[in-house]
Amino acid sequence: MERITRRRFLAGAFSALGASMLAACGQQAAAPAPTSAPAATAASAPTSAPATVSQTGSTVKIEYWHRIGGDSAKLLETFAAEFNEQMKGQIEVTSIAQGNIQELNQKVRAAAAGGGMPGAVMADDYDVTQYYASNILVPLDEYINSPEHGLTQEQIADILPNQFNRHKLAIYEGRTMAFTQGFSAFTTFWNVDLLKKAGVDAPPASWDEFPDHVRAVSKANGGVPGWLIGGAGDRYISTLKTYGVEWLKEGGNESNFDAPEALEIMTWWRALSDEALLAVPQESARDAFIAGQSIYFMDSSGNTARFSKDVKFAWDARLPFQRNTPKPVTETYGPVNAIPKTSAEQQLAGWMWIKWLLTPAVHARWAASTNYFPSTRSALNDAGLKAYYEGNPTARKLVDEVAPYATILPPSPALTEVRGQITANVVNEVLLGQLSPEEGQKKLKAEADAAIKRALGGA
Amino acid sequence: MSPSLAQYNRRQFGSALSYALLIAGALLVIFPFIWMLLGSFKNIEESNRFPPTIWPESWHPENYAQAWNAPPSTLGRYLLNSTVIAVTGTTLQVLICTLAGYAFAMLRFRGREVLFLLVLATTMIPNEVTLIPNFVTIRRFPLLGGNDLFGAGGSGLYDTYIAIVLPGLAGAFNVFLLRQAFMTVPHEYWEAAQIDGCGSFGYLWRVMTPLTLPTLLTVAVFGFIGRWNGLLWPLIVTRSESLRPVQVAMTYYQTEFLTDYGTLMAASILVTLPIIVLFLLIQRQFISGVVSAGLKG
Repeated sequence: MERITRRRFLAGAFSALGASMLAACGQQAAAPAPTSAPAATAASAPTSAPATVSQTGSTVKIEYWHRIGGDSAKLLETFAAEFNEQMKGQIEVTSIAQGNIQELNQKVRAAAAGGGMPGAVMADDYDVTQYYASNILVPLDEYINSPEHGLTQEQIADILPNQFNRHKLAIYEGRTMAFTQGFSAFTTFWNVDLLKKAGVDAPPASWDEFPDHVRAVSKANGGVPGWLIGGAGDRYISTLKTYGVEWLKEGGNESNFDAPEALEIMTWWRALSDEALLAVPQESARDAFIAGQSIYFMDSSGNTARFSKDVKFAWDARLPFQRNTPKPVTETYGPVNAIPKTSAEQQLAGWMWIKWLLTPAVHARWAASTNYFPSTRSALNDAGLKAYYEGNPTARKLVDEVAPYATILPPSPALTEVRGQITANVVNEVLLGQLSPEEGQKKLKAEADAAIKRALGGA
Repeated sequence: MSPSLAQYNRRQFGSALSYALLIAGALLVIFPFIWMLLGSFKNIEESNRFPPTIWPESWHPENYAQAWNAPPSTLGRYLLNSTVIAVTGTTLQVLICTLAGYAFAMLRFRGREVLFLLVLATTMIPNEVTLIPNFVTIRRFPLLGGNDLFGAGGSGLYDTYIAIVLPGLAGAFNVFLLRQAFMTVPHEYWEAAQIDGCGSFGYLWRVMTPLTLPTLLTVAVFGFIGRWNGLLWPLIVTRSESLRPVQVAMTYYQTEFLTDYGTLMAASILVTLPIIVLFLLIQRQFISGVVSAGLKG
């Protein structure tokens, strides 16, 4: 065998290195411009096969990336198989689980940089804001309004307005950047038995009465905490919303934490914390509620599925307490679907898929599997969903009492940091007595505004 | 009491105390495994109960069958994938890092120290920063997966075992570890080997490898565990379930509001077993390697 000299080896190595560098520096395959509205003539039923999805006559294959686990992930695969059967020769969807919220977000950002974006993607509210800022999503209005592939007025009217317009926002220049697929909302759960023991029939009417109410109920129950909070930042901002104050001022350049309500909440939280009636436990606040170790638990409406199985005492749920709100408000949770910029064919296929997911029978099965609220009124007429709600009547009650009032927090690229880090830290410092409520409010305002400025590209 | 008897009693007491402390330490370490094992036999209601029970009220061995069958293509497919990824990746990693470590320890060439410093400097870059550049490299790998010379037109190495295995093969920390181990071998051995007609590769294979085996095994075990437990990178560079490792399968047992801990624990037992077996097989060399390298867990 011929001996490889050092010179030859080096020459070979540099050639390989050069090829790799060329590849790395090469132009990214440009994402094709988003398609314009597919022109056609008549409005079609959501399940009917589109006439012209593929421009070449071949099946358009797309991926759908989501962050759902367990049986609901399998249900999405079943949905994909059913959709593919209905769209045979037109569209083929592969449903792919991509881990949790953060992992899916990282995968999307990696694909945006390196190529290989899916035809449709599940996203949480702040993901949509981030993806929009990165210019990787297609506005959906042209698809929604397309005479051939869009939604009829009847279909639009069937979708809850708050969910239909969930991502039709001023920061997107009034365009719709994501489409609903069920949702959950900030909800108040309580231990009915503990209230009864204190001779109280029902929770208070508003936040104003809440502190004295939990003092009385706790006293009658040996000092059991009133409210164990899971996620200080999340709950503080949710509570502020139910005071009629959004965390972000209009325009999106400044936080609202200088509002008197922000201080008011911090003050009574601190007072209850000093009396050991409110705390942010290290362990799960949900588990503590299930164990009967707190009077209230406030979190996603989706918890009714577990509570109906695991809770051994009488419990109930309702819209969160309100204060000064002209009409009730609560916060929307849960994912939406969006269409990344790919090719005209793939984008249209992506739209057909996410639209199909909202057809009544399909959407009802989704709601029953995930315990999300259905986004359409028609899904409630589905026999399967009716049967599901018979086994979980509280969930059905919340569909009427909570779901209509759910809206998202004002989106901002800074929301994740403001909610998950800044607010959580400041609230904890106030509850632990390291800051007074006034100091906490000032610090929260200053740090949140700085984060917003940073996220918007300021200093 | 005679002095010797008192001494004997003191020794006995000291010995008993040592054993008691060691047993307490061992129990502390083994408790999570016992918890996992007992939890794997609980049903969904009991496994989600709070406060939790330690001993299952009723035994549900069917959790194991459910754990096996829950992910698409069964857990077996994912275990096989993880085995392929961990064994191939670890073998290549040990090979590459050994050669690099040997070069930095034994070969004299211009710029060696600067180059080594550059290699070490890469340990300062967080994984999060390299994630997207690595993905881009994988997608635009030239002349593979339908790509042209400039990495365009196809998907490169995306959705292949190679994509999962490739990054980290030449980990700077492992190169450093092996270089240090090779440097502890007296230079006289190299001179003696040369007299016996041994070249660099022969010396590395016949002399260095046996003498630094504990360190090599340490690199191998860390590499194996890292790949076995890998989730984010395999998730990012694959789309096919037929390629994905066990940690991806573990996400199938969890939902947003309710986790079937019984099935999850059963799956965890099945997934942890290979690592435990591997450790039991080479624990002596592994501990020796960790001690000699001055590593801490």
